[in-house]
Order: sequence, then C-alpha cells, then structure tokens
Amino acid sequence: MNGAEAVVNFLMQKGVDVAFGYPGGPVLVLYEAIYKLKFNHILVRHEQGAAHAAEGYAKVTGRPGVIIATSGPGATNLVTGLADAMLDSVPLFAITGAVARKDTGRDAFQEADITGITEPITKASYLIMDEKKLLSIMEEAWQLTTEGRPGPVLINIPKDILALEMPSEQTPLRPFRRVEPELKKSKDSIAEVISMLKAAKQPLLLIGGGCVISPEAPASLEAFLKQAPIPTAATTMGIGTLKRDHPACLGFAGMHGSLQANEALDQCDLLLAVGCRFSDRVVGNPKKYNSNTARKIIHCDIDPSEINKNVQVDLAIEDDAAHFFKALSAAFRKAEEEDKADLEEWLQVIRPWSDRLRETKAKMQQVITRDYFKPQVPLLPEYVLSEIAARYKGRDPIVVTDVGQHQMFTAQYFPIESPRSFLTSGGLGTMGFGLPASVGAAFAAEGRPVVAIVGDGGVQMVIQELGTIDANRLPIHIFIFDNATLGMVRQWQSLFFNEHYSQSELNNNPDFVKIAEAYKIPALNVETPEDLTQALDRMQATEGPFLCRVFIRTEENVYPMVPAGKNSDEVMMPGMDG
Amino acid sequence: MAVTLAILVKDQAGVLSRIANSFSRRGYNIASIAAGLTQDPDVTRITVKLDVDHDQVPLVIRQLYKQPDVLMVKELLKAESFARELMLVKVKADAGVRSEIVTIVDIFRAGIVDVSFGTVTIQITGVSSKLDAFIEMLRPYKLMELVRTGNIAISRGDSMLDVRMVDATVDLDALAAEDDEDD
Repeated sequence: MNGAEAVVNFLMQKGVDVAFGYPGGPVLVLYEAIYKLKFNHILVRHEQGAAHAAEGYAKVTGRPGVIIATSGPGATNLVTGLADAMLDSVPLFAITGAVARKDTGRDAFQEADITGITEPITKASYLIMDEKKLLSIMEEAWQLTTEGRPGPVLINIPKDILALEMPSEQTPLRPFRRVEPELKKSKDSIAEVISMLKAAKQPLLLIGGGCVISPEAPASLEAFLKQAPIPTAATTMGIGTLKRDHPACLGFAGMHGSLQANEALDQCDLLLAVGCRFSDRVVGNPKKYNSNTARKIIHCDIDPSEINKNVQVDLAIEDDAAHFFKALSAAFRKAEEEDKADLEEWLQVIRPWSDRLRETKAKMQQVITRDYFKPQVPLLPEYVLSEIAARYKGRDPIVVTDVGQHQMFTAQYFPIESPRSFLTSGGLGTMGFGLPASVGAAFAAEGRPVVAIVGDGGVQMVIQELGTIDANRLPIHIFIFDNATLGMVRQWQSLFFNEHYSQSELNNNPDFVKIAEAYKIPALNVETPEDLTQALDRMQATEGPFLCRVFIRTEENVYPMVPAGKNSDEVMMPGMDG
Repeated sequence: MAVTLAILVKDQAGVLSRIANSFSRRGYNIASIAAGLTQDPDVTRITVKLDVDHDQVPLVIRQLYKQPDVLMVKELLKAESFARELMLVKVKADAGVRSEIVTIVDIFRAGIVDVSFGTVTIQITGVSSKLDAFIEMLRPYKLMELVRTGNIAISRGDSMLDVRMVDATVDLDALAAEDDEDD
C-alpha cells in the first residue's frame, strides 16, 4: 500500500462518504488511489467550490467536510473557504499535495507554502515530512476538526510520500499532556446564574452558532424555555436553533435583525449569551454596550478565548451550550422545588417585558405586511422570499445563501424549520459561498429540499459550479436575485456615500437562464408575481436542479439597519413612524 | 505594560513562527522572544515579553492554548521570578581609551571575551535595564556591533514550570508526592 492508498483508506475508515476536490500534478497518485478504491469523489469546477461544498456538507451533517486539492494554485484556491470555515467554526479536513520533499523550498513548479499560508486560518496546518508519521498526524488532525470548537485543518503531503510504499508500522506521536487553566464549567456557577436571572426584570437569551453546532443544544434550550419563557434572540449563525413561531423567539439580532430582538439587546438588564462571540455585526460598539453598568452579562462559550474578547462580561462559563442548558434546567427545577412561589413571582415580573417585545414584533409585522408583501412590479425581495418560503413550509428545507442583501432578506423572511438548515457565510461574509455550499448540502440532504438563494454578484464568482450541479444532477433549487447591482454595497453607498454608486452597478448581467440551460439546467425568468407563481409550480414539478432568475427592485434596501459601529439603540427603520 | 510569559511547546518545525504569529495577528506587541530546548528534548521553552495590559493576560493565554503545539503557559510575575539577558557588544577601543573601557566593564561585572588592536568585545548578562545602562556608558566610545538575546526568565524558589507535567507518561499525583518527599 502506498501513501495515497493509505490516505484514502484512512478517509474510508473514518466513514467519509464524499470528498470534494480537483486533481493536479502532485495528487495524481492520490487520484489513482481514489480510482482504484472506488472512493466517492466529487469533481468541482474550481477549488474554492470544493472548500465551500465541504462546508455545506459539514454544516448540515456536523461531520468534517473533506477536500482534496493539488499543490500551489490548487491549494491557494482553498484559502477563502478555509478562512470562512475558521470564522464560522466549520469542521473541514483539507488534503493538499505538495512538491516532492527533495524539491521543497526550491520554488519548484506549482510550489506554494500552503502550510504557512493557512496557519492563521486553520486550527492547525501540517506539512508531512516523515512518511512514518503520515497516519498518526492525520489521526490527530481528524480529531482536531470536531474537538471543542470545530474548525478546519489542512494536511500538506509531498507527492513522493503519496507514492512511497508505506512502512508497515507508523511512528506514534509522543503523547503530551496539556496543562491548562481549569475551565469554568456550568455546574460551578449555575447557582449564580439562577440568582442573577431572578434578580433580572428584563432578561434576554442570545443564542449563537454554538447552539446550532452542539447536537443537543436546540432540544435542551427548548426544554429550558418551557420552564422559563425568557425572550430569546439568535445571532445570524444561531438561526434555526429555535423555530420562529416559538413564543419566546424574537428572531435574530444585529445589523439587520428584527426590531424586537434589537430592542431587547439594547434594553435587557441581563444578557445570557450562549455560543456566540459578540461579533461587530451584533454589538457594533462594545465599549458603549459595556458602559451600561446596570446590565449584567453572562457569557457561555465552549471556546474560552472568546470570553471577554469583544465584550466584558460579569460571569463566564466555559462550556458546551447543551451542557449549559441542561445544567440550567436542572438548577431551575431545583429552585422551583425549593420555593415555587418565589419563581412564579419572578415569571410574573418579567412578563411585561416579554409583552412589550411582542408588541414591537406585532408592530413590525404590520409594517412588513403593509409595505412589503404586496405583489408589485418590479418585485420586492421581501415578497419573493415569503412566496418561496411558503412553497417549502413543513418540508424542512435546507436554505443556503450567498452574501449581501439577499442573505439578510432570507434571514428575515425565510422561516428555518430545524438547526443546521440555514447555511450562510456569517463571519467572513464570503461572496461566492452560496452556490457551491448548496452542492455540499445536496450530498447531505437525504431527500430534503435544498434551496439556494444567491445574488447576481456572488453567483458570478462561482457560476462554474453549475457544471458540478449538472454532472451530479443535484436537485438544488437556485434563485438568483437579480437587481443589476451589488445590492449591499449600493445600500451603503446610498446611505453613507452620497449616492455615489462607485463600481457597484451590474447593468450588463448575462442571461442567467441561457447560462443555466447551457449547463442543461432548466431555468426561467421571473419578473412579475404571476411569473413567480408559475416558476415555483414548474420547479416543484421538475426533478433535479432548477434555476430562477428573479428580477427585483434595484433601490430596495434592507431594513431594519443598525449602522456599522453603532448599537441597536440607533436602528434605522423607515416606515415605522408612518 | 510588560508581561512575561513562559510557554512550553512541542519542539516541531515552525512552532516559533506559529507562536510569534499568534501574537502579532491579535495586535499584541512582542518586546522580546527567546526559545530553546528544555531538559526534555521534545519540549521547547519560549519566553515572551509582551507589551500588553495586564487584564488582557488571561485572554492572551487562552489564545495561546488554541495552538495544538502549546502544552503549558504561565505568566512569570516580576516579584516571583527573575529574568536575565545576555549581550555581546563590540566597541572601538584604541590604546588611548582601552583602560577606561576596562574600568566600565569591571564596574558592571561584565567580561572582555575578545580583543584586537582596534576593538574589544564585551559579554554582559543581567536584567535588561542593566544592559541598557551599560550601553549608555559605552555610547561615548564607538559602538561597532551589538547583539542581545532577549529575556529568558525562571520562577523563584520552589514554584516552577515543571516540564515533566506535560509528559503524558508521568503520573501527576506521583510527581506531586515525589516533590513533597524532596521537601
């Protein structure tokens, strides 16, 4: 068995049922092994597509997404995807070929120091220089992808090691013990959490991506909310943890979050943040947020380096979200047994707060229904999304977005029915994420619908992946929101740059329908509400992929909007006063 | 504010650059960094002097532990540790000024390690401020070449950053018992 076969065997033993990649010189031996061992490999059309597809797969399944790329340009094309996965805590296992060991450092053909390049954007990146350690290092790296806070790893293997007959025995890595500061676990401070909760009149639970990633977190959160219906907002990455129609759910908070979620974030006297990292899209001005000393903040995160990084907190818990919710439930039950009347009194105290937020929610709903849900031409994205969402209601769709206005509209208007079903590039904001991520999602969907909502800008960065979709006849429903502009850039230019639309116009967009058809993907143009209804009908009746190019109003901005660097008390919302 | 951290890491290719990068990309300034093997040949000890607010230290330490190579990190507080630095300095020293220079060397308990017709090379160890003062004294003469190692630091008394603790084959309880016995 040579190194390449050992690598493929390793993946198969780990239960990897699909890898996304692209061949090239140094990995030819690896592709020979893939061929011989009949390993399921999906040929993408660009390595960036492989990285995002692997992300899509990993986001849906929770298992590491596997990528294979060649040295040099193949490897550097993964960089954006790895950085994206690092910020959104997505487990990826990237294997790249490297030039032969004897050529390392000689600027050989297609040589790039991908180990060094990816060092800051991976949990770990390895260059294998000793064939006797190949599998031991792969094992260590594999564990790292999902250990603690998940993330990407990269293993760079010189081509001579791939071709080398593997030594019968591997050198085990020397086991070390890490001597770390002890973690502040849930059980250590749960009593304090309960007493802080009971002292609060306006508590808010803020749930982030960590609550989606931790397998039991959504159920244990719901169980806790049954005991204590505390108003709950999600971050963009936390969408899907709690169903939108749950009575405690305020929607998502942040730059384009709901009014009620942002009102709660601004006015709460106790913030219980779980599995989130206070990104600048949630709290734009941490200093100002911290200046309200009347507000107490409890922060639970599995990654202790997130605590006190952006926002200073009053109580830190370094634990998994599910552990925390379970401990909270148990402690709440105990408190109830000890003094039921006392707890009930507290639940009464917080009721006016919940009622007030619910009023805001109703008020916002009125504006939306009045202003945005009316059928009109040009179509409004809010209307289009609510129409699309209606078609998938109850079918637990996997909703994938790209980055920009359509992403925020989707977060606002497409109700997500289960965790791991809203796939979006949150931290890095990677245009081009959506289409290839939907490819990976399709391999993990197990019959659930995969809906890709992308913009006319982002899709053109990765449009070649229509080839991957066609080659595998992946049943992805693609909606290109075509407003002939880079919508989010235009929005900022319209609000903050004197309506100077510098380099944001896309007024020569290609005929996306023809492009889709060239890839043998059925497609339709949608310009009117009637077109939309017909297209959705056709789409539902068609097997395999389908693409809709939806023409939407160019001038439409995403509201509510909290300007960058500001907090939710400075939210912009036209129409609210009218 | 200057903070000194002692970091035990696996002795692997690229580890020093990974540690240095993990500081620079978070915006922390490295005042000095020195690395060398410990008594365990697979473990390197890195001493870093950082320019960082003291309340940031727990966060810095947590960020270091995100590197899989990092085995143990301790802050070495000034009162509980001491730090030393080594400097080699070559000074222009004609016959006319050589004896003046020798006097300064004696006062600082430094040593002359090399001498030629026109220069002397001096070795000096001590805390960084002593080395700074020494440089000031030599400035009137012509400084030709100067090199400093950066700080290395160790804890005082019985407290220690015990490299045996990171060896997974060593039983921690037995280690603690053994140390008690020694006392």
